[in-house]
Amino acid sequence: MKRKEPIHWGQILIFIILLILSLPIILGYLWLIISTFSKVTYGLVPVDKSGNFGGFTLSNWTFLKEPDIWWASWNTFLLAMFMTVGVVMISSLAGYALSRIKFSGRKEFLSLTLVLHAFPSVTLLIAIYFVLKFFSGIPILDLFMGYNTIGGVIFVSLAMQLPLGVWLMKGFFDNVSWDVERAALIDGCSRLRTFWSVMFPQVRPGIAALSIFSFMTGWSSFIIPYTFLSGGAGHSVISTYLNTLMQSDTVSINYNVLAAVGLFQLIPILIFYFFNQNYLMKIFSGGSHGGV
Amino acid sequence: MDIYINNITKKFGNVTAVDKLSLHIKSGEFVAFLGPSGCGKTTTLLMIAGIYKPNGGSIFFGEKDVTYLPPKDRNIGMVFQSYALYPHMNVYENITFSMKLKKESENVKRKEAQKIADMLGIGHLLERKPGELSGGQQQRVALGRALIKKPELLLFDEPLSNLDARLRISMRSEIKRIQKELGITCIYVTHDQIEAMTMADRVAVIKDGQLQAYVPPMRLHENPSTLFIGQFVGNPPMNTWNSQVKGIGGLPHVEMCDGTFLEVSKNYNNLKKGSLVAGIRAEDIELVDKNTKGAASAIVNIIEPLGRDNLLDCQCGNKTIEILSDPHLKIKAGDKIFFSITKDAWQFFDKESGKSLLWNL
Repeated sequence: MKRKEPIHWGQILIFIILLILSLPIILGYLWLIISTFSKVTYGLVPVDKSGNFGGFTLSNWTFLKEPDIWWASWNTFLLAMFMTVGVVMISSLAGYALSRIKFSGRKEFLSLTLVLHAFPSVTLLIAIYFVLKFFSGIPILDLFMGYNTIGGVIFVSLAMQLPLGVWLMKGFFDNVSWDVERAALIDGCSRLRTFWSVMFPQVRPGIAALSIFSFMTGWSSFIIPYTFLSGGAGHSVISTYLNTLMQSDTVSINYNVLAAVGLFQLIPILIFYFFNQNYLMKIFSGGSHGGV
Repeated sequence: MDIYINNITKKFGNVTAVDKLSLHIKSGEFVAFLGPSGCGKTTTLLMIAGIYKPNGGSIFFGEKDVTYLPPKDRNIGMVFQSYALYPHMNVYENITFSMKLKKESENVKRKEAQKIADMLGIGHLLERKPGELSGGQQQRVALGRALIKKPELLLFDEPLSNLDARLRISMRSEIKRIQKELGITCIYVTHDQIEAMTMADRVAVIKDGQLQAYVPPMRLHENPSTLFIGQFVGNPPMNTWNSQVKGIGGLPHVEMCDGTFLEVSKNYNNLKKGSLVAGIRAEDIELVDKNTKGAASAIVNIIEPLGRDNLLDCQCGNKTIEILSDPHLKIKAGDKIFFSITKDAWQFFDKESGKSLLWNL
């Protein structure tokens, strides 16, 4: 017969403290969800015209009927997707080389990536403008990567994310034993095959972490798209779309619609987390088990 | 396939890890590379495997110059100390990985893998991942992975170091048995002289990147060519001390650590006069009754029971010497014991160079 352990005073206290600390966040999200479905809210409580509880509406969600948001979503998706895939591929190849291959200038290169990571994207805006304008000058490239294309934004965002990616992947590759690599070389792998079949699968936690960071950075990215996309259909992402809603001088800002768009932006991330939470928890509690 | 290693050298920056090493390994021979940690034996092994490229010298497999050939073209198999199994693949995929790279058919792979796995006693584990196996099982998978390629040369890098003592002993004989059965040339790197003694046809002793001796194991034990070998090989280690050989009454006598002189065999009459290093193994020292003529003495410091014998750590003059005794004798720490030494079992080494004064090798 199992005797239930009596709950400690300490446990209750800790729980209460955590609850109080989380309260602002919980309340914030609560307001977000509630206000998307109501015309006006007094604090957390949705009210109708006469100040009574009620006033539920779906009118905040009418923006979904227009193509603008869908263009923006598509662009945001492209941005996040290409950033993730690009950063992971380039960072793992670079991280592998930095971890395993001895070449002159290796130490200096590593220090350089660290320095690059320290640069906030804001400081480089002017320089990026010139880079994108340069691409616009090249005939075919300007369709994909020039100024005012999502391709250009992807290109630049990818580059800004690489220093972190390279450092992360190098660290993960450092933890893979040299012996496994040697065994692969003896079994008959070429260097490239060794990377693809043997090394890459072993840094899965690193890839997962990097993918999540990159996807979220891309999905919520604002400064770069804001500066280098002109806005309007086909030239915006969700965050810039949200920004245009706040720009209007004539109509007062409708915070409820803002909340709705915000929630819309949040939903894919929530779904992603919901389906991957088991895998994510496994990563944070210590990677792959077993083996040597 | 004969292996010829000619004057290979490996430098890492300013450090010379392997210094002009030359060896000839006959086809089907089991050779052990024996030496203390950091002596260059693993580096040499990796050069033979092709993982490291030598800075000088050459390596031939038969008539073929393989010095700069990549590992995959050398037809070798290697078993690592850490097993180095691919953690994301199961046992079957681990073993057949080399066949997959050669694009062999699934049928052939299945058949060969089952055959090898059954021979090694892991036939029932093919679907498991390395993380779900015990150390001994992982070791066998590593062995299977190396053997399935039917290599002409098998390399071992201290494969049994991570196993528990009992398992080590059984795996030792199993590896030896498989090697004899398949007739594959083997190179086995170890720092454990017992492994080298029990498994090898010849032992190459390496110290500081240089070859010290390359002889069959018993020769190493009975006729050590340097002080280092004498002290490194044999369990418990050889007792050595600075000494001299003096003629007393026409017979050579060895000075013991406490200054007394012990008569030794006439064979040592021709030893040079002057100071040298004397060595005697514990197994050649016998405890005797205190009235025995010509016995030496020592005081017991510590008694280590080994089961079959007791190892006595004794103080003789200013040196400690190890003596084996029957565990049933009632000896306590602090007792004065008397012993005699087999007259022709002594080893003598030059004091400066450490070279043996008895065996010129």
